[in-house]
Amino acid sequence: MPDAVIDSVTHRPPASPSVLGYPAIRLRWCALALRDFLRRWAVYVVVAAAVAGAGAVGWQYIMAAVAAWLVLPLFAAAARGWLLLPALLAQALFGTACVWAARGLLWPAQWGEAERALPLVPADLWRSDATVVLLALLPLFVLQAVGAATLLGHATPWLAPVRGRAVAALLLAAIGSVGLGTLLLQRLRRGPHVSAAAASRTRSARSDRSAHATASMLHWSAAWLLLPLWRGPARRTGFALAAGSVLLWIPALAVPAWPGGSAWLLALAALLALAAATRVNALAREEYAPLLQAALPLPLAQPPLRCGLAALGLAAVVPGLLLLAVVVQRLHPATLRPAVLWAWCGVCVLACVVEVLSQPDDPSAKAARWLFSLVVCVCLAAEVLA
Amino acid sequence: MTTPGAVLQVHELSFSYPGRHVYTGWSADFMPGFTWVRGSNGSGKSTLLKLLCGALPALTGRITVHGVDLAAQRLHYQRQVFWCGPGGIAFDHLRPHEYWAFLRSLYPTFDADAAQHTADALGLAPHRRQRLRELSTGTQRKVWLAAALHAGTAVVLLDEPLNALDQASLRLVRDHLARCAADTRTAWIVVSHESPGTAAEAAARILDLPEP
Repeated sequence: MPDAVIDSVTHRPPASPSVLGYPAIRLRWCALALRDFLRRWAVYVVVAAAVAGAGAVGWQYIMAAVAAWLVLPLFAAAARGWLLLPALLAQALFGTACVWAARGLLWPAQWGEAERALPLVPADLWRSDATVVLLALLPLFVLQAVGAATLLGHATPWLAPVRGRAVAALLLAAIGSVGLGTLLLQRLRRGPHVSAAAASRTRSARSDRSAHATASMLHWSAAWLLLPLWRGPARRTGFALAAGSVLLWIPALAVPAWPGGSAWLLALAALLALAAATRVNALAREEYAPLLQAALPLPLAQPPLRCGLAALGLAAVVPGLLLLAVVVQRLHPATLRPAVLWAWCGVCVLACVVEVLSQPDDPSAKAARWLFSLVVCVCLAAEVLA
Repeated sequence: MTTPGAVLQVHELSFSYPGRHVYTGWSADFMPGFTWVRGSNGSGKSTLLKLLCGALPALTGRITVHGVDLAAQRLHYQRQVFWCGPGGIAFDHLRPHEYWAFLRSLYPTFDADAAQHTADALGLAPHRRQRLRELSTGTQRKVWLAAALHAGTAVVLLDEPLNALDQASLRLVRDHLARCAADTRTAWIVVSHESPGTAAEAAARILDLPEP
């Protein structure tokens, strides 16, 4: 170190800085991220609890039933023996999926480069990953424990002979979830491993060909709206759009398997549509904001760009809703009230349009819009079949 | 062929981003003192620093500090190399003194008190109690730069250290870089589009990277 740099600065004794380890700063970051997350979503938790509480004799029964469903497949598999291993794996993967969903709260991707540049002890990284995964999964484990207690407490005849095996399987699944979740975070942390030169050359050749093919003309809708969905910076929007579309196909595919539950599936589809449109729209607003800024100095009208963004939210839901309506119409020709069915479809789409076009506002206004739309959709869904 | 007295040695380094080769069999020896790395945009200056600190994995090649190999003894190597990137600090949920306390847990040679004094001289005193994410990029860089100037490691890598600094801070950092040129223990490797100052420039070893 060269001589003291600042000769002219008055020496002020600083507050003696203690040593702060990586696990400590990691937990601190997770706590802040969780606090921000809860601030944004607390209102939805309250609404969900209120809806659940209003729907039955007591909210605790609903909660116990929900918790029991979390372990029922595993316990049922434990009773059948041969199904136990796949069920155990599925249970562990469910926990891993929760870690994946919460990964933004567990490890910030922007740390990657900085972490790789620092002399961090690998054991510290593993330990802190395992700790945050365990903490993140703790609510799930508590719910599973409540579910297990509910099932075991009711002396279910098929469960009685395999109680020990069922509990052991649940514990193993929990350990598996933590292990797989930790591996997942480690995988996320891995740097941009540039593979062999051959792979690099292949990619290069492919991108050259692609560049040649699109060099002649690229419409703004492709360059500005669609390409960012898989090339970035709007990959999360693209993923949400695809996931929303797939989710909305589930009720349509489930109707033939459960014709008696058509009204329930219509209500579920309304909920999924609203959720998908809201999520895609929120992500699109966030990820396309820099592109909107970049488009300002270009000879592009802003309204079509904004309409294009809104269309993304609707693109995730409209095909699924239409498909469901058509399937229901074909399955129940005798008892169907077509006008109500198409009114349901129209209200669902309208609710999504309102959600997509509304300016980002406070969560309570959004929750009010959601509740109103859902109540109307559920009422219509209940009246679709005579 | 290695240069006697070299602190950092790079041998046959290769690296490429998808579709673009950046380094192919590149070798260099870095001596104590100040090395100014220059080159046009896209020539791989920042990539070089990231490779040297281990933030990016080299495809092939060997990078050593005083004989300690990055690939073979990563942790030992990284304790001797401090990297100050071109943007803000990633761990932006911390306050400046917490960030230095974190660095102190990683670099045995890091002088947190001196970093604090330098930061004050850079005008950071009013922001001591704020989280880094509440500070501007320029102010965050002052925290990072103050840490880099007092890391005490054998190699200090500075990526655009003069970016986003006000005039007073620019003067101070340039003065420091001028002193670094006479440093006989530490290799200061600086990537900068701007001149590091007349004195530093005169004393610096200049490494011009070829056109991309």
